[in-house]
Order: sequence, then structure tokens, then C-alpha cells
Amino acid sequence: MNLQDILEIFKPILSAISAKNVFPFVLAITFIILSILISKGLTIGLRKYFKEKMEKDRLGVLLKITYYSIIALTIILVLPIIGINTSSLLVAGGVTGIIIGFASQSIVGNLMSGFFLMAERPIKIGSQVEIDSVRGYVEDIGLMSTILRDYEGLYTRIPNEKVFTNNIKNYSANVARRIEYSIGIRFTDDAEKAINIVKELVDEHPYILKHPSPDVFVDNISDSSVILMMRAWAPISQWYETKKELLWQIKTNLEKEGIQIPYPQRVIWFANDKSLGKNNSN
Amino acid sequence: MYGYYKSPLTPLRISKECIQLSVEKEGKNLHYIRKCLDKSIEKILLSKDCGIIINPIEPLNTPKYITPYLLIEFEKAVFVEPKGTVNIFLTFPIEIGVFIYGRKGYDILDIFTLAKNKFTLYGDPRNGIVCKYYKSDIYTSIPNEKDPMIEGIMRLKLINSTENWAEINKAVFDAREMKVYFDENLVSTKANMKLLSLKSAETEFVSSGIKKGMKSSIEVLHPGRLPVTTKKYLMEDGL
Repeated sequence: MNLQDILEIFKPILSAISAKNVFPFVLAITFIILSILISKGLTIGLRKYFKEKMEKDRLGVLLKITYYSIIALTIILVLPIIGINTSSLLVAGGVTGIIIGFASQSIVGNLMSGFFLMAERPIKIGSQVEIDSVRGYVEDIGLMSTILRDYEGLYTRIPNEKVFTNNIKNYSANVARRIEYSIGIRFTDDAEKAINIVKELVDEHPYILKHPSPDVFVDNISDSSVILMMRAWAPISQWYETKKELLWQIKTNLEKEGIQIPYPQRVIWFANDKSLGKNNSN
Repeated sequence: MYGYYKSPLTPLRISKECIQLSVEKEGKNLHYIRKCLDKSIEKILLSKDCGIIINPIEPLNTPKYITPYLLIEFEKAVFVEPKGTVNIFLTFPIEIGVFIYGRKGYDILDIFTLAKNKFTLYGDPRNGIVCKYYKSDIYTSIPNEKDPMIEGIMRLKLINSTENWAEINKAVFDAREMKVYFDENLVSTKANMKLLSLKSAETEFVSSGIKKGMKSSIEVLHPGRLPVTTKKYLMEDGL
């Protein structure tokens, strides 16, 4: 095959691509690229301007809406340039909308859920949440999906429809959270002394809130121990650290004062050995 | 202890109560060491020509900055007559700020406190705010024998704009706007509390000390402190 033959093959294509036909396409693509650049520039400007003035997730929504709106508007405006009548699209849109709707139910569902999540705002970027058995930090709330970073640092993408229809547990929605310990001590230990030790530690700890007032009391007398209950509140940002630290302090201070956390115990009576039973009961 | 320590800093050794603070030369650089109670910190100052400013600052930074609000609970409830205005004196916890300064400005180097740190919740866990907590006696004149390294004196002007007797048990402030003044023997601040109803009040700090000639403290810049934000805090969850 020589050059002449190759040119013969491409001749119909080359004749179709005349300057008259190509120019509108080039113009349309140029407009779209320009709109992308403009929307990028605008979102960078808006991000800088509102960084300190708006919450991160609200700003994220504003930037996404701005970015996609400019591009979508430009595409609608440039369609007539390449010979597509937008009014006819409206008529066709009705029919195609139904077809696309059926074909992409989950996509539309996710998109609508994304809008509702942004409006209702049960979670924010940075919140600690549990959604569909995944626990972690909210990294991003997109139009189609929500991104979580779990406590092991793994990236988890949850479709918005799932986020919207599932129960959401938001651990950081409130400013304070309760800490609760159940502490078992021996029957022979002085429960009042143990309560005072715990109360003192609770009072001394800076992050245990003064109000709502902490509470320490005998909650139950179980088979092997007297159960003390401690309930106190901590700021949500310090909850985990405080919970760890205070429990360790309670354990060590109780032990220092000779109060021990008992092993499970069972008293066994021998029917023919009354003296052993007597000793055990003591 | 409060004041300016100009360059050259070496040797600088300050020892007051349980605080030991020193700047020592280590090679070409300076070595900052602070010991207070059981804690000590060390920092290297990569400068040959710097000074240090030590002054009391608002009590928001230790053990960690988690809230801009300060709640002072009164030891005894105060009653203010209808349309009455009265001045009372309270104590508030202070933190000690060590600033480093050079030719191109200053910045915070170290913050510590001898006052007890405690936090509390004002309002409910859903809509309330976490506040730094302090309990104070009520005084009708400037109390004596208060350690300026631990406590400051606040003059609080109570303005009852209602037609009823008002009972007040606490005051909540946005302490980012707190203006602290000091001299050798006293640390002070001034604030107003205007009662809007029997359940709500507006608090704000006033920019002056309670005695003449007191120096103004250098402030620590906190997140969210913008020039456009209001200086007042509205107490809506009870007095």
C-alpha cells in the first residue's frame, strides 16, 4: 500500500473535516476549558476568602456547587454552537430522563441522598461517626459518596444512599460525653474509702467536668465483689484520653490504699466437713 | 517576676515560689529551662539577640486550649436590686506567659500555671459550651493577700436592667477578649455583666486595670479571634 492509497482511504474523512465544521467544535471545547479554568480559579479564591469565616463542610458544599454549576451552565450555553438545540433537548429530556432514571436508580439515589445530607447535616467533615458498622472520621462528604477514615487509617467510601438510610452515630456532635466505669472491690474492703478515693481523683482531674456533677456510688453487690459505679462527663475532644487516664489512676490509687479488685470466687461447702465450711465463712 | 528581661539574657535565673526559670548559653545558642511543680520543659532558642517578657495571661491555655470560655462560679449567690448597679470583686485563675521577642516582633515561648485547672459545662451537652472553671468568693472591695502568681482580681460591674430582684450564681465570659493588667503585687481585669432577664445576661471585658498605673499584658492570639467578632458573650442558660 503506497501513500496514494492511504490518502484515498482518508479522503472522505478529510473532506468532512472542513474548517467550517471544525471551528464550532474547537470554539465549544475552548469555552468548556475556559469555564473549567474560571471555576477552578473562583473556587480557589472562595476557599481563601471563606477559609476562616465558614465551617469546613459548608465551604466544601459551596465550592462544589460553584464549580459544577459554572461548568454545567457553560455546557448548556455552548451546545447551540455545535448545532444542538437545547429546547429540543428539553423534549427529549423527558423521555430520556425516564430511561436514564430506570437505568441509574442507584446513582440518582446517591445524588439525592447527598443533597439531603448536605441540607440536614447529621455529620460534618472531621466528625467521629459510626455508619453501617464503620467507625472513623468523616474525611469528605461528596455528592455521591461519603469518605471515612477508620481508626486503623483505612479509607472507606460509603455511598450516600447508604449513609442516608442507615443509622448514624455521631460521637462528636455534642460538646461533652459521659465516662462510666464499673469497679469491683472485695467484700472486705472499705467501700466508703474506695468511693472517697475515686471522688478525689475525679475532682482533681482537669477534664472531668464540674457540671454535670460526677457521681460515685455502690451500684450492686455481685457474687464476688461490691460494684462501685462512677459516672462523669468530659469534653468531647478530651473524652478518650481522659477515659484511659482516669481508669489507670483509679486502679493504681485503689491498690496503693490496699483496696483490690477481686477474682471471681465461689464458696464450696462439704456436707461432712463442717469445720472447713466454718473456716471459709470467716 | 513579671516584666521585661532584655538582651543579653545570659545569665538569666529567676526563682520564685515553686517556679525556676533560666536561660543558659549552650554553644552558640540559648537554652531555656523552666521547672514548675513537678513539670519541667526545655527549649533551644536559635538566636543570639533576643529578650524575654513574662506576664500574666488569660487562663485558657493549660493543660490545653480547648475552649475560649471562662465560667466563674460564686461561692455565695448575689442578689441585685431592680434597676440596680453594683460592683463586686472576684478572683480568677491566671496563667503565666513567657514571650520571646527580637527585632522582628514577639511570640509565645512557654505557658504554665500554678492555679488548679478544671473545666465545666454551661448549658446542656447538646447546645451548651465547655468552659474553664473557677470558684470564687465574693468581695465588696479589693481583697488582700492574693498571690499574683496564682490568682487575679476581677472587678465585675453587675447591671440589673430588669424590674425584679435578680439572683446570680455565676458569670460566663468569652476570655479571648480578656484584658489582663498587672503590677508587682496585683493582677487584675475589669468586666461588666448586664442582666437582660432573670435567666440571661450579657458579659464583656473592659480595657483597663482596677488600679492606676497597671501595665497591660501581652495577649496570646487564639483561634477564631477575629476583629469583627463581638466582644460580648450572651449567657442564655441561666445565671
